[in-house]
Amino acid sequence: MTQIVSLYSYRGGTGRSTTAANVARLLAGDGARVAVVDTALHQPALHSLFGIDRLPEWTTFTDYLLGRCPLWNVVREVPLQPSGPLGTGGRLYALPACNLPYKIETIKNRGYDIGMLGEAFTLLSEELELDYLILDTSAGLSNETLAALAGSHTVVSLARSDRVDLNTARLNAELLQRLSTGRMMLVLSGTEGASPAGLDAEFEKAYGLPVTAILPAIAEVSEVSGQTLFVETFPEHVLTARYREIADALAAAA
Amino acid sequence: MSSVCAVEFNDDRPPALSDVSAYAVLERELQIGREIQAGFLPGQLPVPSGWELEAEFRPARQVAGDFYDVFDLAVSQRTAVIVADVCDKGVGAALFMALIRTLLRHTVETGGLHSMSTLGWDPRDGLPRVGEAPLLHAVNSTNRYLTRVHREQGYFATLFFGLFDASTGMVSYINCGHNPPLHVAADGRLLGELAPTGPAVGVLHSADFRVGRVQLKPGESLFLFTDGVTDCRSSDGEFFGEQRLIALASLPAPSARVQIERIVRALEEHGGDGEQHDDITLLVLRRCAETETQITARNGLS
Repeated sequence: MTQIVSLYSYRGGTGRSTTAANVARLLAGDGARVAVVDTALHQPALHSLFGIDRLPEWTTFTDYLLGRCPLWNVVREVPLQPSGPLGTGGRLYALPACNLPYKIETIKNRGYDIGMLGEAFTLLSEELELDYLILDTSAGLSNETLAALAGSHTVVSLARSDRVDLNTARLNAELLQRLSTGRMMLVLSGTEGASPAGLDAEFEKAYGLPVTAILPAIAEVSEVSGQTLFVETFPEHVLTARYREIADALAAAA
Repeated sequence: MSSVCAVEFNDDRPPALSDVSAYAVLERELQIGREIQAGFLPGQLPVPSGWELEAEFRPARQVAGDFYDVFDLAVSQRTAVIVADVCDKGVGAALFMALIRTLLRHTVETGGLHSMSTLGWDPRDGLPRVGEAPLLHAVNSTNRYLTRVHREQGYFATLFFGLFDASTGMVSYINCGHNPPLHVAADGRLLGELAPTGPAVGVLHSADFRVGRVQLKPGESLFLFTDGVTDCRSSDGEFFGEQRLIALASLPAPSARVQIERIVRALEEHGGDGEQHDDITLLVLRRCAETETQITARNGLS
């Protein structure tokens, strides 16, 4: 059975898309069949993370939702580059959303049938025989994010390890309980050096969950972003090790 | 079975010329109304390959409060089927029929994206299937419009609004206080009745509508009808009733056309020469048995 995983955060800047792409790469390297869908239709990022520079017309997830192309025109296989200990035994697929402003405007203004999201998740899971379907969402509670949460078996909730996110942590945890029946994982991000003493424990208490991984803020992420996947460029990096913790937690939950 | 509009003439004296003239004007206006209303009904039904759709529509007066509609939703690749009964009969009901039919159809075709929470969709129920969000939005917004703008007139409608996926046989529907359609197996067994999933539209502003689902397997049929069918009366006042309808729907038949003609004939025999008291609408949706589909495909027919 396909495990559907949403990466969610209440605020932006937590590294959802980067985490989604890199964790997907690790899982595929372990031999799994993985697809990543960009449901952040208003701020798409996935194409860039997978190094897809040009998106030909009528080949994006946005076009599918607008009824302008079949789902299979959107699916792109991402080659797994051999790198250090990373395996290449699985398959990785990406479904980018459109980054053209006029199309973002179109889908914002015209809307689409939200049932097509669910149909896409089902078709991808079955036809590609996926082990994991990873949904990159936009921050906050857009309709796509609500749909992704509703359709997921696992929600990876990312929060910045600071007081601002801590203040909304309990509210956010309650919200997720209301919006999803899936299991929750908590990931903290953006910590430069040591986070304030006891902050992680306060997050754990607010969510009622252990922290699965703490992602350090690393300058190299922005250096390679848009060119190669971080874990392929830095397979031995501490951040790669943190992504590995998330991948292993997902594998254990499968 | 349509009746002529009754005009009262006093005693046995011949009608005055002005009365006859007024009658003629009224008759002409009603005829225009009837023709315009006919334009609100589908001309040719869009029937997906491997399916049959047949409808019978008989107004009790010149114009009717019943209506049915069948149309394709291009983007979502579903076919919409509506059978509805506006309360009352005649011109008032006909005006509301035109309004409700237009609101439902326009909204489901162009409704766009709507927040799942605005639709009243509980995310823990999982994701809506294709077409279900526009369906729910169309029924919700039609109900809210009627109860907000036309509350004083007191008109309401029961209706069944379904969307079916021709490739899987899955029907998503909202039954707004309407006679439960009959789900009949290929061998004629009654598999179930699609009970209401919400009240009639136009009654409660904050009504709660839910989407139901039923899957039609090859050879299975759905019988949609208005209460003009079950309430059809014989000369001695006996209702046609649901049991007669179920018995007829349960007889094996080679096609939806045969199924519907059989019921229409029984209604005519039951009603005899008496006045038709209510509009009659009957629609049969049938998924062809796999063997029929293969034959159709071989012959290049749709």
